[in-house]
Amino acid sequence: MALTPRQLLRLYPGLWRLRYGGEFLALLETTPITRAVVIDVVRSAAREWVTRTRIGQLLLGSVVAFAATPCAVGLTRVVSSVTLLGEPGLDSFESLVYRVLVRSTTLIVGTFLIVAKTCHDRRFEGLGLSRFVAVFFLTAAWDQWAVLGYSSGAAVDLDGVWMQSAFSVSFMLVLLLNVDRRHETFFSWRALSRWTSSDRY
Amino acid sequence: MKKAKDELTGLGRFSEPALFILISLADSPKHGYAMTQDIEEVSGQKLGPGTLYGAIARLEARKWIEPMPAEDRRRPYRLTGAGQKVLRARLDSLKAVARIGHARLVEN
Repeated sequence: MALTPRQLLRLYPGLWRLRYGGEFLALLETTPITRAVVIDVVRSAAREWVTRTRIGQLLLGSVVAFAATPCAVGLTRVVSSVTLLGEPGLDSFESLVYRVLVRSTTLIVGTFLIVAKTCHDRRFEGLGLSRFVAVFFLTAAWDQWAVLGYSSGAAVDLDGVWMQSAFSVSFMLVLLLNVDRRHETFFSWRALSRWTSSDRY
Repeated sequence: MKKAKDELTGLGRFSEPALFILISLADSPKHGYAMTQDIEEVSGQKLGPGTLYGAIARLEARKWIEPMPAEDRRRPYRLTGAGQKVLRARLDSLKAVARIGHARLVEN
């Protein structure tokens, strides 16, 4: 099914359409709607959602943080060759609930960091892979301590937890220190307050 | 001069379309369709509508171009003083790179 110019325009955020909708539609109406044009518009619309709207940034941050947590935990376990799986109580329902809560907290923290950083850069182009990696290791460190908290009293390899946490935190700090050559700080409180006030157009 | 060049490259994947747009607007104000036609003539590249307006939005946000009153539904844009400065710096930089490249080709 061929898409019409109006359907393509609807892919963009409302505020973008308010500002550029009329002229963009005029351009689309004089352009043959080929597959390449559809791909170009879809990609551009997705970028506008992610860079210019709060909901898009939250969605991106959530997806990244949600994906980051298990990756980070798995990675640190492999690197340090220590596993906490199979420790007493870790397979129980309570453990599952606890870990879900822990990871929800992680998700909020990760989202906050990514959104704050995006606000600071004021555009998606500044949001580098290194920041995602930093959040990976932050979540890994947090996860390890959360497991320790749940398992307090049970036989837990404390040295292993220490080692993993120290590794994760030091890796994260190194990343944060080198993460951004264009900006001095990892995120900006002022930018975050600006972000909470309105979308940008 | 280096700072202005960095500002343009800071547009990420939009830096090349942005350069084409600035060049297109250097001689006169143009609306979106006229820009795509002009850019295709000058560079041989046809910018998609999404890429064009993505770059226009970013250039406008940096005040390197500014909108003029709309004609029907089409809105022309013109280069600002800051935009001229950025474009000049970028072109100077490209000229220097091209000169070095040509010189090295001649040496071989």
